[in-house]
Amino acid sequence: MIPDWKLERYIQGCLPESDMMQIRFEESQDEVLRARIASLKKSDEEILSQYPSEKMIPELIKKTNKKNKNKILFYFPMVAAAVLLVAFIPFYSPDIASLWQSSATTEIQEYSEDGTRIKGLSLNLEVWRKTADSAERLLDKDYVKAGDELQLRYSVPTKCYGIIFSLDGNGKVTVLLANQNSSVALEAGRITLLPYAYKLDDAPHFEKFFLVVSEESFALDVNQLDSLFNSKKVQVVSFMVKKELVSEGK
Amino acid sequence: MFGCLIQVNMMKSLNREKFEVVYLQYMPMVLRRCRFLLKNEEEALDVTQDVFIRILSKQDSLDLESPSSLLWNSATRLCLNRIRNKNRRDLNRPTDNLLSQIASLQDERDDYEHQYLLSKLFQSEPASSRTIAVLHFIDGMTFEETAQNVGLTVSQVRYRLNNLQKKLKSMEDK
Repeated sequence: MIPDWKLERYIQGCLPESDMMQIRFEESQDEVLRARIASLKKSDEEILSQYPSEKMIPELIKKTNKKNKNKILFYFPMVAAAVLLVAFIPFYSPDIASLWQSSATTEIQEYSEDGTRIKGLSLNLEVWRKTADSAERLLDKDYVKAGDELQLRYSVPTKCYGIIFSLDGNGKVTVLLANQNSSVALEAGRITLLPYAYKLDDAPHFEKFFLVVSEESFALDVNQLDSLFNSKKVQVVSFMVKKELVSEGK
Repeated sequence: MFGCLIQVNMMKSLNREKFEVVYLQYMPMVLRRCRFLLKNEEEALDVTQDVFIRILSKQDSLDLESPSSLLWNSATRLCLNRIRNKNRRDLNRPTDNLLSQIASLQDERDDYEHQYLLSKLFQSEPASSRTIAVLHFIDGMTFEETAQNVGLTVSQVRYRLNNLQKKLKSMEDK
């Protein structure tokens, strides 16, 4: 039986064409389905005559204006605090301000899959998951599972040196882009795909990827990650995926 | 100055003609949805109005070319909130048991939203796991259909539903 939600969308013409055709065909064959559709259409008319737009819309607009005013009053102190915070951070903590300038404003103005140089790219790290016939872009803190194949892409705003590595829930560091733990030169103005996919093992909880860049060449010491992250010479962007718990017997 | 700017934006967002088209085409569906979930005409109408007030408030940022899933999901979410609030106040509720249980579940997303209210100002609303559960368990949508409706991947939907099923089971055991 066709569920109600699908029938509602059929009446509105909001289903994919293949589904529309299928239901149209069933409608021509099935008396019960025809009665359900007729009943929905009748219900539409009854509801709109009971709650006509001429009466309801002015009421809704009035309520919306009232709600928006209340919302402004509610959020205003928080927005004001946020604006003040953003305005004063450069004075009190230039380090944090410089990190924002470098990584938080991800703005891709022009995009080129073939690697053509383009302007407007910022420091950015993307993680994609391979699917059967394609790939899907993951969001920070998306869930993944052991065996998933991930592919990384990065961009840098200016020519620099960089290293990409991951840290898993067991504390294990895996270097993904480097020259024997030394940084490699990264080209600016293009989105670069790492040449291989990364298959997740069964480490628990999370997998966090780091792109660390600097104007000067540098080395990665896996035992000294904190000092690397705290160094004023480097900029860091990270991307974390969470691990799905695989239940026993699955 | 700030107040004037907001007022201008509010006027701009109230595109009556566009809104009327959406109302005429989809209001009956939303009301039927609310009636089905709440089993109470007055409350159903109240929640239906809430759904459309939200549409009016966010008209500029929403894709209203084909808002069927958006309206269906919003109605579902707001009805669940209503049922949950009634459950908390221990009012008699003529909703079915599974729906009532789903509505009462603590959603990880709810905690997240409350804790990060400020960041929520700048983000789009995440899909609620409770809404996902109703689409799948009550409406009978497949994993794929649910995922399409809420804009998540199938594995994300499957993961959220597994978690909710565990919580439902532990509620039943208690």
